Order: sequence, then C-alpha cells, then structure tokens
Amino acid sequence: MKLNTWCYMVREAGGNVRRNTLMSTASVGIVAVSLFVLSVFVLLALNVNYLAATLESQVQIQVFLSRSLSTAQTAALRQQVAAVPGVRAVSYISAQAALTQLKREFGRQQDLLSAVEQHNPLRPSLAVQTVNPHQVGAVAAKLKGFQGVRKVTYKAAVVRRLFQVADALHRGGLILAGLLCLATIFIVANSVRLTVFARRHEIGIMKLVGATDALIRWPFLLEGMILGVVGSLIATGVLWESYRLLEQGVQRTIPFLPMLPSYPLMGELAVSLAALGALIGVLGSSLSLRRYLRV
Amino acid sequence: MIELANVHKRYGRYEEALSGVDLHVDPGEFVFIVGPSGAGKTTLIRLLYREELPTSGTVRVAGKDLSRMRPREVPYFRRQVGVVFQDFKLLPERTVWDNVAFALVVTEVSPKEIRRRVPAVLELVGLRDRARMKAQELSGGEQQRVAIARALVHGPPLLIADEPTGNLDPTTAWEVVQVLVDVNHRGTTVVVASHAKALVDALRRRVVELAAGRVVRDEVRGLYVHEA
Repeated sequence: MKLNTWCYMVREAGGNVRRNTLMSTASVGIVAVSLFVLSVFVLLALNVNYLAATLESQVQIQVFLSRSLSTAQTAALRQQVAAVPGVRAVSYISAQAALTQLKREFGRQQDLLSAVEQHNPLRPSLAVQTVNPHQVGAVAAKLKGFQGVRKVTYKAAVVRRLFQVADALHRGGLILAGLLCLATIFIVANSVRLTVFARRHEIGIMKLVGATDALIRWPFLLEGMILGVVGSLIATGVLWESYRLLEQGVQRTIPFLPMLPSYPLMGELAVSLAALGALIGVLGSSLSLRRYLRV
Repeated sequence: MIELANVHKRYGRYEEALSGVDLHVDPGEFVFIVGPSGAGKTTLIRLLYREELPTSGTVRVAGKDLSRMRPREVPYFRRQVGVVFQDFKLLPERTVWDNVAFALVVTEVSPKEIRRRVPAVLELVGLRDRARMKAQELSGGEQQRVAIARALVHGPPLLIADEPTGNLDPTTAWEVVQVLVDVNHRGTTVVVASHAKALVDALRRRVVELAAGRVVRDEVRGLYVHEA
C-alpha cells in the first residue's frame, strides 16, 4: 500500500481512539493491568531462578572444624580432605575470616555484630568444592567421618527447592496471565466493536465506492494495536519504577539477596510487553471485525 | 453494458423477487426502471452493483459475469459503477469536498489526482461553490447532486440510481434528473429506478416496467404508464 494510504489509516485509527474516549480508556487500563500482573509473575520467577542459579554455582561443602585443633592438625586434615576423590579445591576459613565475611554480608546492619566481636561464636571451617555438583552428597558423607570435623553442611536441598518454586511461579503465572490476556482481548474487541458500530454508515459507503477490504479493516486493527501498545507502555512505566524501588529496598535491608539488575532486563521486558500489547490489540479487533464487519 | 439472462432472485424459500428477467442495455443508453413497490426494482438495482447475487441466471455488467467474480475483485468492479440512492448516503458532518474526495481517498488515489478530479466533478453537478460547506447544510437536491458527484468521481461507464428523487420536491427532482441527463450526454450509461411519473413522462426515454418480478413492458420512448 502507498504511504498516503498508511497515513490515512493511522489518522483514522487515532481518530477512532479519541472519539471513543471512555471505552478506549477502559481498554488501555485493562491491558495495562493484565500486562502488569503478567510481568510481576515473570519477574518473580526470573529472580527466584537467578537466586537458585547463584546458589547452585556456590554449592560447596562447609566442613566446620572443632575449635581445639592446632594449626598442624588443621593442615593435616586439610590435606586429608583434599585427597578425597571428587574434591576439586579446599580452602581454610578461620573463625576470624568467617566473621569478617558475615559482616560484609550484613552491609549497613553490621553494627548488629559488634556485640559478638569479643567472643567470636563462629568456628573455623574448610570450604570444599567438588569437581561436579552431583558428587556433593557422597563427598559430604565421607567427610563427616574424619577426626576433628564437627559438622558438614551443603546447600543443595535449598537450591533444588528454589528451582521448584521458580517453576511453580512460572507455570502459575503463565496460566493466570493467559486468562487475563484472554479477558483483555475481549475488552479490546468490545471497544473496537463500538467503533465499528458507530461507523457502520461510513463503512457501507466505503464498500460502495470500491474500497478494498484491507483498507476498511486496517484502521480498526490499528486502533486495537494503539490501545494495546499504550496499555503496555503504562504497564512498563509502573513496573520499571516499582522494580527500581524494590531493588533499592532490597539493597538497603537484605543486601546479600541476589536480584537481577534492572538493565538490560527491563528493556527486554518493555519490548516484549509492547509486542504482546500490540498482539492483544490486533487479536481483539480482528475478533470484532470478523463478527460485525464481514468484509 | 448490462446483460441479464433468465435472472431469478429468491429471498427465503418462497418469496421470489425476480422471476426470469431478461434485460439488455447498450452503452450510452438512459433507462428508467418503473413499476409499483415490490415489483423488484430495488432487487434488480442491487444485482447490478453486486450487492446481491442472483439465485439463478447470469448478470453481466461492464463485461463481467458477476456470479463468477471473486470477492476480492468486487471493490475494483465497484469503481466501474457509480451508485446513487434515495437517502443520498453522505457523511453529514463532512464537507462537500470531503464527501466526494472520500471515494478517491479510500481507493488510494494520489492527493494530486484528487485535487484535479474533485473540482471537475463538482463543476459537472453545479456545486463548485459549495465545496467548503458541510453536507448537512445543503438542501436535499444539492445533497443528491453531491452523491452523484461522488458516484461519478471514478469516471465509471455506468451510473445506477435507485429512486434518486424519492425524497425531493418536484422542482429539485427535476434539477437532479437534468444532471443525470447531462451525465448521460457525456457518454455514461444511466439506469434509474423511479416512481416519478412526471419525470419519466417528460423525458420520453427507454422504459422497462416490472410487475411481480417480471419485465412486462420495454419501450424505447416510453411513458410511465402504457399508452392505451
């Protein structure tokens, strides 16, 4: 089609949106809410996934040692641990180093720890990394029997649980969002239907003077698209700001919780939402056109 | 220009609006279709611009068999046939210019061409000076002339009018018919379905009379009612 024709159709579509203010506003609002809810679920799932992945990469066995071990005994034990099959690396963390690490994780709240600084309650430990994560269980069981070892822990169970949560969020979120999108399509369809009805006279004339079906149809499809995209822009705006505030909040209060940084995540989300909004709009209006225009 | 052979049109199961109509119209003719309400005039007109398809029989207009035409070809066919109605079918909020230009805009004619064709066709129907007025501000006769201008703006070889003077008083009706005659003189084939006895009798053109869905009379220089 010619450029002039596109200009005409965009003008018509914009005019339709403006003439039909109430219904257009309602549609944009519903699109925005649905896409917002959808994105909240996506973001939650992505972050839990990220958290799980971060932890997984850190799956290591913490071997807490008895406080009474001498330096020589500790060194011997360390060599003994390193000789276990499947162990890739062993590093020694003194009680003092453990406390420093903890203080760093507490960030601004590290004052809380100043009370215990005189009598460090933490034990020295060995951090053991395995060649691959699946060996963690077997290696840990072996280490438990060594002399001077008080306790052996590892985070594999937590990681598995987190992946399950992320999965459930994904699935639940998708179902809910799917239903919302369906509802949204019907709302947009209704809005466009009102326009089609208001302009049936004009549509009749267009058919009479030989306008092609495509030309009659496109302004209405564009109208739906505009409603969808504007709705998605609002959703993106609200989401972006909320995520930023949440990120700041988390940094302030629980700084050791890993969160996906908003760049480039938000940019990608904005593009996907706009595309989804446009799709919802087009689907909604074609639904109306099929039923009420028969062109 | 028009060729109908044994055309039947049935609505529903029993009611037959046209039963076996044959009609031949040459290029450049001016034809009145007359007959009482319910005789099938409007159905016949609607077949001519492919608003309806015949139940059986063939309808050929401007060299095309309308029953065999694919839906996607219909818009291009419509540009070959101007249609005018009793109720004008204008966009009342828009200006005369916009109403006429509308037919060109929605068929993707360039703005330059639109600026050339619209004044010419408004001149033809005598409304050049009304271009900036809204359609609803015009009299009935002027509105019908706008509708004729719009029907002619694609330069169609055939102009069809269904009761074009039905809503007009006798004087303005006469003006409108004069425009149609003018158009016919310029070479366009004109088919007019009409009740207006006075107009038909004054013009003495070809008259095709329908009754109960059949052609009962076809006279070259006819009157509204058959001369005894």
